[in-house]
Amino acid sequence: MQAKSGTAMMLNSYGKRFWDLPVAVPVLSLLLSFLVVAVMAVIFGVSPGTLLGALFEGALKGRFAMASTVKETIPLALASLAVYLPYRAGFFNIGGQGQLQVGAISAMVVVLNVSGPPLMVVTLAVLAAMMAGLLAVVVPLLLKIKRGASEVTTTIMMNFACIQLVNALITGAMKDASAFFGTTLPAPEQYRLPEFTLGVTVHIGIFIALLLVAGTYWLTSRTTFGVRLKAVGSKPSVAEASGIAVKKMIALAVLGGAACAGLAGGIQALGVVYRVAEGWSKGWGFTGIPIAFLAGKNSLAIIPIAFMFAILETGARYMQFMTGVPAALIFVFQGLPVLVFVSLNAWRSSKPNKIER
Amino acid sequence: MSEGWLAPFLLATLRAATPLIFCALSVVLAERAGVIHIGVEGVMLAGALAGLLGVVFWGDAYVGILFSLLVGLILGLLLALITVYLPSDQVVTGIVFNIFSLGVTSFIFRLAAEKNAAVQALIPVMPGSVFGLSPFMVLALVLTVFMWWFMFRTGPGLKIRSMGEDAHAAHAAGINVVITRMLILTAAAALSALGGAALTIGWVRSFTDNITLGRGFIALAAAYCGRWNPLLATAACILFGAGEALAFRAQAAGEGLNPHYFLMIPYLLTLLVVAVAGKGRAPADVGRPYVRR
Amino acid sequence: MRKRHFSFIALLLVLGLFTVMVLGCPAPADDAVAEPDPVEPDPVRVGAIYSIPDPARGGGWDRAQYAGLKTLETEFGWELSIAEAVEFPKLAETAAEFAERGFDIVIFTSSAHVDAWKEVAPQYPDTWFLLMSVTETLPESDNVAAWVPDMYVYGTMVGALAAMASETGTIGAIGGMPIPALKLMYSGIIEGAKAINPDSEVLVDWVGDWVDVPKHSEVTRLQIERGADVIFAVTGPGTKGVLDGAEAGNALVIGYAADWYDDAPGAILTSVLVDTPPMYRELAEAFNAGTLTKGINQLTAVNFTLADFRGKLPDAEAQIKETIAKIQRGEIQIPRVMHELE
Repeated sequence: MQAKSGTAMMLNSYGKRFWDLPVAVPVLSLLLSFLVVAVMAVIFGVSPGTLLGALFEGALKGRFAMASTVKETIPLALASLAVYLPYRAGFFNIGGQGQLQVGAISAMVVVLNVSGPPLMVVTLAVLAAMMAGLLAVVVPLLLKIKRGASEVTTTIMMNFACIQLVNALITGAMKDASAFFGTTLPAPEQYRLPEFTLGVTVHIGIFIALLLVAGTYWLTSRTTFGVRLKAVGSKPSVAEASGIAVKKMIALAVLGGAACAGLAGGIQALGVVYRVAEGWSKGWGFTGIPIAFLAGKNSLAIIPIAFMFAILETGARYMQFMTGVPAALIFVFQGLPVLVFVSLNAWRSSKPNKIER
Repeated sequence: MSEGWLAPFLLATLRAATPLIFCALSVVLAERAGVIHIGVEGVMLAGALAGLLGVVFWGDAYVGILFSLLVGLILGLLLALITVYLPSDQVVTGIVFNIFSLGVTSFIFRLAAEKNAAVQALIPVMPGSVFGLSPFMVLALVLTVFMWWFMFRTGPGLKIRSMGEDAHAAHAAGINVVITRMLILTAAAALSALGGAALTIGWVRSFTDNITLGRGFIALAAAYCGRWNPLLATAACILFGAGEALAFRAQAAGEGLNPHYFLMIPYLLTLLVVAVAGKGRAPADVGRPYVRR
Repeated sequence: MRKRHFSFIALLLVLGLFTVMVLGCPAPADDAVAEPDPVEPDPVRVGAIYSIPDPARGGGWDRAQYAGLKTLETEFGWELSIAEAVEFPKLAETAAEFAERGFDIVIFTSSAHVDAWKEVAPQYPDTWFLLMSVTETLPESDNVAAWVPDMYVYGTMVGALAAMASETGTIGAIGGMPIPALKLMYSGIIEGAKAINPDSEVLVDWVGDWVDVPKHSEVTRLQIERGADVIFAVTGPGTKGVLDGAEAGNALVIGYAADWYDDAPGAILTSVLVDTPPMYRELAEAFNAGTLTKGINQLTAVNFTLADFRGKLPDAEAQIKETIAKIQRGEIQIPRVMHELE
C-alpha cells in the first residue's frame, strides 16, 4: 500500500469515499435513468432538455400543478406504509393496490348511503376504508400464519380479485346509471374531505399521511414494539424463543399496513376524485412497493421519496402533451430509476463480500 | 345449435389457454429453481411485440418466434443479473420491470409504426394453423409433458428442485447455485416471451400498447394453482381459458352476471388451492435472494 | 450510525438536485411560451384530448379527428398540443390543466368526454371548450360549442351497406361500451338494414372495454358463429381484434370513420368515411373572425362518404354506391327509431 504513489492513493481513496457517500446510488441511478430517457427522447426527435424541463414544469410550476403533486404524494406515502410496516415483520404485502381499491369503494358506499353530520359521515367513511383494506389482507395473513403459504402469492391473487370486484361493482350494482362508463355516483359535496389553502390548496388527508408516517417512525425506532417487530422480521425463530408472540406481532403489523392502504383509497376517493370509476386509480399500491423499499430503514424518508414519485406522475402528463412524446414514456420514468437503484444498491452492498473472500 | 356450440367453445378455450400455458410453465421453471418470476407479464409483453416486429420486418412467422425468443433470453439475462447475480429483491425487481417493460414496448411500437405502417396491420396467419389453432397449441402441450418429465424424472430436474428447496444445501451438494439459477431464469424468460408470441403471432396477429392486459399474472395464478407442477399448471391454464371463453359467451347470451365476476375466478380459485394445500409442495426457497456465504 | 441516515440524507440531496434542475431547466422553455416573437401575433394554442394512445393510428373516429386537428396546425398555423391516453376520470383534470396553462381552446374528441366537458367548461370562462362528437345538450356556460355528426344517419348508411353486402342477412355490430352516441348509431344501423332487407338481423354486442384485443377477436368470432358475415365495429385499439376475428371467420368488415383498408386488406369491405377537416376549418375561421358562439353545429350525410371497395364485391359495388347516394340525397326515407341497446 505504502508503495503506491500519492496521487493514486488519493484517487483510490476518493473513489472509495464517493462510493460510500449516501448520495452515490440515488444520484447515479437518477442520472443513468435520465440518460436513457434522454436517448429515447432524442430518438423520438425531442430535445432532452425540453423534455425534462416540461416534466418539472408540469409538476411544480404554478399553484395548480404544485397542488396536484402534493395531493398525489398522499396516496403514495400511505400505500408505501402498507408495504413498509408489514415488511418490518417479514411479511411482503404486495396487495396494496387491491386493499386501496376496496378501501375506496367502501368509503364511497358509506358517503352514498349514510346521511348525517358531515364530520360523522366522513369519519365513518374513512374508518370503513381502513376496515376494508384490513379485510382484504385477512385471507393472505391467515394463510401465512396458519398454513405457512407465501404471502407474495396470496397478496398478488387478492390484488386482482379485489380489483375485479371493484370493477364488477362500478359497472354493476353501484353504477351511476346516467354514465356511459363504469362509475359510482359522485360523493355528495358535504361529505368530501375539507380543503384548506396554505400556499397551495390541498385536502386534510395530508395531515393524516404525515401523522401516520411520523407515527410509524416513532413506533419502529423509538418503542420496544419496534424492537420486537424487527426481531420478528429478521429472525422469527430467535424472537419466538425469547418470548415474543411472533404471530401476533406479524398480524398487527400486517393489519396496520393494510389499513393504511385502505385509507389511501378512501382519502383519494373523498379528497381528490370524488368517484370510483374505471381507471380511476393509478397504480399507487404498486408504486408504494419501490417507495417503501427505497426508504429502507428510515420511514421518514417515505415522504420525500413519495414526493419525488409524485413529481414524475403529475409532471408526466404535461410533458407528454407539450412535447408530443408517447404517453408510454411515463412508465419508463416510473420503472427505470427504481430498477437501476435496486441494482446499484445490491451491487454496492455485495462488493465488500467479494473483496473479503 | 347444441352440437354447434361445443366445438367453437373448446377452440376458444384452447386459443385463450395457449399463451397462458407458456407463461405458466416459465413461472413453474423459475420458481422450482427458487427465483420468483413476477416479471412474467413484462417479458410476455416484450415477447409479444418482438414476435410481431420479427414477422413484419423479416416476413416469416418462425423468424418472429426466434426474435421473440432472443428478446426473452436477453431480458431473462438482465433479470437474472439483477435478481440472482447481484442479487437484489426479486419481487421489487419483477414489479418494477413490468412497469418499465410496458413503457419501453409501447415506445418501440410507436417508433416502429412511424417507420413502417405494416406494423399496424394484421400479420399473416401462422402457417400450419388449423381451425384457428396455431402450432403454438401443440408446442405448449409438448413442452408441458417435457417439462414434467424433465423436472420429476431426470437428474438435472432433481437438482433444480433441490435448489428451489434450499439453495445453501444445493451449494453444499456441489451445485453452482448462481450460475444455474441464472441459466434457468434466462430460459424461463424465453418461455414467457414465447407466450407473448403465441398471443400476437398465433392468435390476434396484431399488437397494441399493453396487449397482454394482465394475462401474465393469470399465468402466475395458474402456476400457483397447479402447485408448481407443469401438468397441473397447464390444466389450470386450460380451466382459466375456459372461464375466459365462457365469460364472452355468457355476456353475448345476455346472461345477467357481470363479466368481472368471471374474471375473479382464477385468483379466487388459486387462493382456495393455496388454502387447501398450504405450504405443501411449494418450493421453500422461492423469493429469497441467494447470497454466497 | 451513518448508514441509518443514508437514504434520508441522500434523498434530501437528490431533492436539492431536482430543485436546481427545476429552477435551471424550464427557463428557456418559459421564454418561448411567455414571450412570443414581438412581430408575430400570439399563435392560438389548442389542446386536444384523446383517451387512446397514438391517435394518428387509433380507432376510426380518433384517426379521422386527428386528420381534422392537423389542419389547425397546417392551414392556420395554430399551436396544437395533444394529450393522449387520458383515462376517463382524468379527463376533467387534463382539460383544467390546459386551461390553467393559458390555452385558448380545449378540444374533446369523443362523446365519452361529455361529462368532463360539462364539469370543466363553467370553471374557465376565458377558454373555449369544444366537443367534436355527439351530444344533445351543452354545458351551462357561454364558452362552449360542439360539432356533432348525425350518427343516426351515419348508422343508416352503414346498415344499408351491410344489408346489401350480407349473404346471410345477419349483420354484426360491435361496440366498446354502450355510450349514447353508439346506441344512436346502432339504432340507425338496424333501421338502415331493415330499409334494404326487412328480414335482416343486427347482432349488437358490447365488448365491455375499448382495448382488449383478444377479447374483441373472440366477440367477433362469436358473432360469426351466430351467422354474421358483415361486421361493423366502433371501439378503440381493440378494433384490431375485430379485424383478426373477422378475417379468421371470412367475414367482411366495414371500417368506421377513417379508411381501414391498410390495416386488414383481406377483411375490409370498405369504410364509411367522416370528412372532418371541413368542421375544423369552420371552427378555426369562426374563432379567428371572433364569431365563435355557443351552439351545436350539425354534420350531415354529405360529410359521410364511401371509401374505395378495392375489388371487394365487384358485382354489387355500383348498386351499393347508388343506394348510399340515395340515402344521402334523402331519396330513401329511413324512419328515426331508437332501440334499447343495453
